[in-house]
Amino acid sequence: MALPVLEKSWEFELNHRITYPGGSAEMYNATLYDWKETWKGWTVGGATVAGSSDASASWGWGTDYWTSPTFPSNNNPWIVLNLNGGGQVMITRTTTSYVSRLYFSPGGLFTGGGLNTPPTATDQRTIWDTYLFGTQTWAVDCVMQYWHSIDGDCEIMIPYLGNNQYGILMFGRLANAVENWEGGRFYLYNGVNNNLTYSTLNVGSPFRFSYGGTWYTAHGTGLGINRSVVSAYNNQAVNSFSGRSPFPRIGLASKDAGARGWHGRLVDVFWANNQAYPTGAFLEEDVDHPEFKWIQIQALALPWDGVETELVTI
Amino acid sequence: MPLPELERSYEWIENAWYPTSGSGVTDRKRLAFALYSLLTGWTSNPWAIVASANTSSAGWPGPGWSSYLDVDYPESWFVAENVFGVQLCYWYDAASDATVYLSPDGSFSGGAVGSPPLTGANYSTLLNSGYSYWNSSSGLDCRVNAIHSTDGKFDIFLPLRTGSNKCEWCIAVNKFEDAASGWALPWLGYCNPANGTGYGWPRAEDGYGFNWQETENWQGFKASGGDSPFSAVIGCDVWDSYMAMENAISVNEISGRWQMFPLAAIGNTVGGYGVFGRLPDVYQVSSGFVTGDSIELDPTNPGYTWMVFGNYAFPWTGNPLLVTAE
Repeated sequence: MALPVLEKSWEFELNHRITYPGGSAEMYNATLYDWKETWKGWTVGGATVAGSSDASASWGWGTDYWTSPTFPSNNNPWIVLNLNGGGQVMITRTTTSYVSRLYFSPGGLFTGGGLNTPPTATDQRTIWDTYLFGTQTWAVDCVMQYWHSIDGDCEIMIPYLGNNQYGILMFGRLANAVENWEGGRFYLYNGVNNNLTYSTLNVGSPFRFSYGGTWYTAHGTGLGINRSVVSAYNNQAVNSFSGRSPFPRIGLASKDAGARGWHGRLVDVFWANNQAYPTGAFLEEDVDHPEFKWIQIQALALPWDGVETELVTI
Repeated sequence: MPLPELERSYEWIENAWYPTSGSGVTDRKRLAFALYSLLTGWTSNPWAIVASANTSSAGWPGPGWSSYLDVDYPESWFVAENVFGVQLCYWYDAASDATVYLSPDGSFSGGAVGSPPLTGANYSTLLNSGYSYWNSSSGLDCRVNAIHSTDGKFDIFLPLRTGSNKCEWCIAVNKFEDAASGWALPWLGYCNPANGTGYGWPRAEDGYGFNWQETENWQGFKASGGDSPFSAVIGCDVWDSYMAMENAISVNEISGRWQMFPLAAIGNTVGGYGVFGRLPDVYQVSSGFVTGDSIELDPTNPGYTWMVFGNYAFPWTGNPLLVTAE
């Protein structure tokens, strides 16, 4: 049982520090701006700006008016990004300085809007509607971790604030998706700090997908023997036979009526062993692929570039 | 999600009728002899009896069993060896009991009447107590089903108590594929009695089945040369607080296909931790199925279908019928 071979090619922005500028609202803006710039800036398959408003002077479709992180934080600035893998996301700041919202339109249907009025989409889904990654307090340095598959199908973002990991945002596309589900697109959002656990991702249902115009919740499945996924071996550092780190796959399954069943698997993201290794541990290096490693972040094993030597969290 | 394609080809014994004799001991002798006969009777790559004991003599290969009258407790046992050298030892050691051993490196030796040949052997004990199978005091008859892969890598023996949809007991020996490096002899055996209220693999009584994988142990050992035996369970993708089959659906609501989940071997004891192989051609199904359900014929392989025993789908002959009544 060798190390898994990456199925996708990835770009990374790892240990991406955003220095606290001295005010929470300013930090909030700086983080959103960094996020937008990073997603736009991928070498291959980056997002494009569908439309935006700086909430003070300019807005319109086809132009990025978020030209600096100093836009007003409380007058409904917004930006719509076209994801290369399909669909659009819209980020807004609302009228309250510490509130942001993130919406997803799988059909890429955002339209309308104005200088202080975010557009809407008939298929829009609210991913969060209060705090950026569930926290109001962005008054410390932030370290962002970004992953991007160059086919545009997958974006992953994990923020760290003052050594606390604040959940995860992931857009992805399933491999081995069941037939009749065109696209196999899903997103994962969890905004609770230090909560990327088996319980959250498996027993909980933080995954979402749209099928036939209806949104469904989904669980991350794992190869296991009982109701605690991989519990038989997740406290073991290595497989007793192979001596290798375990890399159980993550599937996606729903028990919502209308879309029940196991529908596919995530690509290049695996369950990790959070009882045997701490967050930030590098799992085995693939000697055939020295350009990347595997890193553990709580219950997940993610690809990691061959450059950054540690997971910086503060 | 098309139907899975078979990796191996198979022979079957279907619905072999074993009416109760009215004597529990006699019924157990007859089932023991049925096992002996089936293992050695397959057309392709059958097992061979390499050692045996009847009521009066023992040896290698020993007297063999010519009928159930050669079987009695605690004298009788046999060692069957498959084409890969894996040995299975069955010992009828007490009136309502039996003990089954597996030696993947085929190292059983010695033995005498009433004493199975364990001397110096590397083996796992698949079952050693409570083997009061086919409790004929209930007055129920039995149908025996057995599946054998023609390459000799898989055997399962499934007596089914008539009318109850219960597998009375089960013996399975399987070579796991995609074995983890370091597992030199990737064979696991399984044996479980039902005793009327238990659930021999594959969890034969319908309506139960969320936690079978927690409790049912396969046994094997890591390698020849003295490593300790270990236990394993078989598992599949699970989610939430129950099993994949929690939803009691038979068909994926998006694909419209049958829910059939591949199985893997997962070790949960010292010396055998981890996922270290998969079980070909056997799938977990949801609790929406019941024993005797047949899953659609595969149009590309019309010679077989899938048959549900408990929570599992096994490859089955083109005849879709599993007889669960007299």
